[in-house]
Amino acid sequence: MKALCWYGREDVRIETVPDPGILAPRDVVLDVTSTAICGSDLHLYRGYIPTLREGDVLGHEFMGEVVETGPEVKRLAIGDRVVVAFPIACGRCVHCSREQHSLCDDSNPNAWMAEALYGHSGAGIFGYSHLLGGYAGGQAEYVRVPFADVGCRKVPEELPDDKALFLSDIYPTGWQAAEVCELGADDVVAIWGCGPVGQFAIRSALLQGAGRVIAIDRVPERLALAQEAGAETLDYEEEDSLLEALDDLTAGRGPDACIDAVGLEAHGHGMLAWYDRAKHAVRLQTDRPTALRQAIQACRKGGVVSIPGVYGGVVDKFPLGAAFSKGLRLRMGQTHVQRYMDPLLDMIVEGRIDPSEIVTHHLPLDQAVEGYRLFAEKEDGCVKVVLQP
Amino acid sequence: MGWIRKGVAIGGAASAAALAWRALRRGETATRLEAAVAVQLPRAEVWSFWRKPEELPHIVPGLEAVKAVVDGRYRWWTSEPVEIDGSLEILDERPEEVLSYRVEGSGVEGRAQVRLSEAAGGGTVVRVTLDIDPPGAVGRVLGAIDPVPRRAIKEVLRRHRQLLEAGEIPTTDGQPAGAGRSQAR
Repeated sequence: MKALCWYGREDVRIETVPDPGILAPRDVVLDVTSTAICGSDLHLYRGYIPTLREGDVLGHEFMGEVVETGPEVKRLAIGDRVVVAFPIACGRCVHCSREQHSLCDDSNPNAWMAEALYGHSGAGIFGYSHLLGGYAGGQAEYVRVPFADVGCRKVPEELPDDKALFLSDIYPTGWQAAEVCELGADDVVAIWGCGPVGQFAIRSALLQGAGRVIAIDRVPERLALAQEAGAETLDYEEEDSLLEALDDLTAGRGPDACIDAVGLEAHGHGMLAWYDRAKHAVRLQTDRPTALRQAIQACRKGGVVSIPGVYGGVVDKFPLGAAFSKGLRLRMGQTHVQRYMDPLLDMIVEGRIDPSEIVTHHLPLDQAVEGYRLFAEKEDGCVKVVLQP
Repeated sequence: MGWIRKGVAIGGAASAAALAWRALRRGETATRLEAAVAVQLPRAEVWSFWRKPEELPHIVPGLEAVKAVVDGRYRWWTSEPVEIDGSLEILDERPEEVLSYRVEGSGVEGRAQVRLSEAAGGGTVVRVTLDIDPPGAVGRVLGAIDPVPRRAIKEVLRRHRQLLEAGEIPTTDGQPAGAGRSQAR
């Protein structure tokens, strides 16, 4: 089959690799119909996540048709059309039983590696480094899905791929990012980053009843998309001081909740951003936390800072003093996608949200390399690339 | 991956040697290792796994098979990385509480004790104590699993939890990758 393989910094290739098969009793194999490039794939693309190996198949946002089932698969059959959660979860361990699927105890074959770095290991993730399991991803014609009964959701026939695909990651990720803020009707939410996760965080915050959403970015088409969804927008390159602008919009209090939907490769501007970029470039720090620092600085006393953006290692100049003195609550982590798939699918079917709004590019899998480049460079108004094998 | 492995291998060899040296200086005859894991299953189910030593090859990498000889006595053998033939004898058992056995093979003697108790919030705590004699043999026995002896035990217990909870041990062996794969990064 054809698959998108990683070979190094900004070096991904379409290659012919062996077809996947059933390797464990609870596996299925899918014929992939749609697969997306995630913003977090760009962290891999740019070489910021350790423990990738040359030839690794990437991709953790995908859906398709079941073509093979393992002997212990109970809820799926050949021919089912399903969308797949990006964290691989057994469904039975202590964390899965608490619906903390991305913290699954039993799905990472390389748990020892994550333990060495993080103390304990979370769930395995498709196509996201050997630290997180080394599972082949879904930017391919076929993909093997472990613990398929837990991670797959059947998609109603009438729902097109573009509306269902993002249940795999970014819609639940935006939803969880807003949910952990425990938003009330009077609450103001500020969201750093209007990429795909930011777009879903905006829509989710509004669906969850937030009073106002302020969306922060610098890319015009992304800000326009945020505005269409009902957010007020701030272009951080137009503001002398983003923090003052946020204070002005909130009568000096600051937003009740701040969501960092940027993660470890923030652009930012000013002295500290340059300092971060220099240290990042020579790998003196693994993560560049510009957005996170601003979110902590901006947040209202007693507020919540929610971090759906991916961080992988250590950051420098983390303003813990500000977080402490303002009594902030910090909420973060990979998304427990399995917990949200059913209710969010219902909202799509009911027409309360249309996830396909954010798709700007459809490309055949053959052109995935160009897709990565477009998305990485934010060229041609690129917000979200969907690949069709 | 190489960058972690390498560090671990060096640390592992050093710590195995240090363990053995300390044990010799204290005049001890064995190296003791202890580790525990919480399994989200009732004690009866966890017990029934441990009471069947034939199941051990599922969780101990390199252990080919364990076969009953007579009641309470077993024969076991490995193939990778070295061929060893040995015996296992159950010394003592209190159902759903404690199981002790002696393992012998290739001039090494190990005594294992598996204790089960109630985990806070449900499930079962499995605590394994392993004495290996002579002390210097610990690396030889567990090195195939992990160069750090304590981590080797933890790895076995992790596989135990995965097998019992998830019904399988997660794997990627046999999955596709690009042909240009060379060395680990």
